[in-house]
Amino acid sequence: MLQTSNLAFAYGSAEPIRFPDIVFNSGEQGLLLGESGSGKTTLLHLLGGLRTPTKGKVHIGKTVINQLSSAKLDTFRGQNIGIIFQQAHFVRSLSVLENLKLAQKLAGLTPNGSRIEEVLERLNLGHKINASTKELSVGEQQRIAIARAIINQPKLILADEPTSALDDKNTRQVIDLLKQQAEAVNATLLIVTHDKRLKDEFAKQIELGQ
Amino acid sequence: MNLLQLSWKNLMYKPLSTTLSVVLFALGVGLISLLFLLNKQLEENFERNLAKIDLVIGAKGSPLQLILNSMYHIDAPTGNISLKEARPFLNAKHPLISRAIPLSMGDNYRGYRILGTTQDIVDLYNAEISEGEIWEKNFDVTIGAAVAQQLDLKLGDTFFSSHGFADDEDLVHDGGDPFEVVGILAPSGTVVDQLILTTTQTFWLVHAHEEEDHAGHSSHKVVPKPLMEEDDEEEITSLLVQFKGRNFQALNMGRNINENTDMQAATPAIEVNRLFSLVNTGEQALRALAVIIIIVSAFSIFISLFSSLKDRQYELALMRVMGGKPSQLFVLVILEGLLLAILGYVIGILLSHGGMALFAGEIQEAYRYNFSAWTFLKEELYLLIGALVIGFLAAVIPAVQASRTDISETLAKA
Repeated sequence: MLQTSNLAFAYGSAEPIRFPDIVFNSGEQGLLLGESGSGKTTLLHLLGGLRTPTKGKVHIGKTVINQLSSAKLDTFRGQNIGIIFQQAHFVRSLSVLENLKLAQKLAGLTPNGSRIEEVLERLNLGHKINASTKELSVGEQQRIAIARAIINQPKLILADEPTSALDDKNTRQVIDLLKQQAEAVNATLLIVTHDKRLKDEFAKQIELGQ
Repeated sequence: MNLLQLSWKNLMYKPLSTTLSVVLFALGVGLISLLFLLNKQLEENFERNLAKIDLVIGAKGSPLQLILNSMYHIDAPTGNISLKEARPFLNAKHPLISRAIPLSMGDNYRGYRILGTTQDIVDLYNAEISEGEIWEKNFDVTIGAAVAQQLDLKLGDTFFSSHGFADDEDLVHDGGDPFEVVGILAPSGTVVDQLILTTTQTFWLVHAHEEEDHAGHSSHKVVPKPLMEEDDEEEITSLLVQFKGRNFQALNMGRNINENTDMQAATPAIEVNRLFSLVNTGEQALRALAVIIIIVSAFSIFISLFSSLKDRQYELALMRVMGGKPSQLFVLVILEGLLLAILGYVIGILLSHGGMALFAGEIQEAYRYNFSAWTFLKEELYLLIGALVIGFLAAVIPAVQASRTDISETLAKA
């Protein structure tokens, strides 16, 4: 499902960072670990098509995403990749519902209110559907960000330090939700983290920077 | 949630800076539109009232004043001329003149001017009777449509005139015969809508009466003699003259009058053009001011979009993550600029037309014209196109900036 080969990325004229080849099957879940500066976030951006690698290939399904044209890559990303960041950000002028509709619309799909309601219900956030994103707690914001990442039933879910800003209780909740929701849509889940609390949660772990 | 809705929500999210941009834009647009409206309507009214009058003859003084007074009824007379001097022009056998209409003025009823004249004036302005008939006897009046409407006068109503051009109760000519409304004219869109018309002799009688003994006078309600047969010493204010043809002799007549008589002759077309060129200078200054306001408002749109981009960097990168293309971000910001411009335009147009509606009454009193506040001009359509262009230009740099948002770097920074 997700496969990289000979991936390398250089910032400007600096020495390129080389990444180990990664293989994830459909529905497989795992962690990407490493010290700060080991290139974890860079790798995640390469996998998510947010950056183009200097060398190598990223396969998602049958597509080599770093060979797509820029416009096709944007649409591919919107439809097939859900990304969750350390801090949840939203289009602040929009409500929860509108943010999720925007995610459907920008991916080139038809906004589907009942799908949004269903996802929010599953995350126990049905009552927040018309709330402004500013009114949400940090934990709630991260759960809405998960809702946004899975709304288009992606093949791949990438999470960049999703729990580092959360307390234990919220961390538990977010990790459980990520696992459940990835399973529900049979998506590959890859979490980049240095959060020790997550180490026992996933069998598959890839260590960077060795 | 399409881009237009999103751009609208983004503007509403920052109500203060949106309001500032819109208000500035609206002021500029409103001022320009108001100038268009005033200019257009003034010009139209001035031209409609030219009524093919070739020459105005009156007492010596400012020619512009004579024109304003005799044709537009907005200034005081330059003085009077004697019937003796005016009589040659009233002669139906005059070789150059097809029509000469005498005007006598100086009295009003509740602010509306009473004009002593001959029935020809109705024809001159293409006015038509809507009720009753055209005056024939002294003290009978036929009134313009606006007078009838504003003063609620009906056929058979009577009133006393007062001296001067302003409504003043102390100057009422009471004790003599009252004026009686015998006819009401249909609206003609010309200055006669605002006038009370009667015979020339009525004026003489009203003022002669003042000096007379009040007791034992007989009624003057008779059809007067033709002016040609009246005494030399009687006076009128001015004459409106139409030529038979615009030949060399006719064109020279004005100069002859100015050089060889105690009267002056003024050519309406020349004086009206002079007036417009005077007004134009002020108008150009106002127009320049409006353009400056619009430029400032364009900067305000630019600055507000540009500064909001800084706050929204992450948001824009996020939209890219969700599948948004650079072109969509470009369109989003452009739409915000266009929306600001359209809002400003709509409010500006409402301001100018609303202002016209509000001041129409006062303008009407000062200029003797009916202003219509809700007619829209072709120029206002051009103004809309201009507004859209300015909205686009103000947004284009921020929009390019937005479309170039580097997703990865922006997200890594946060």
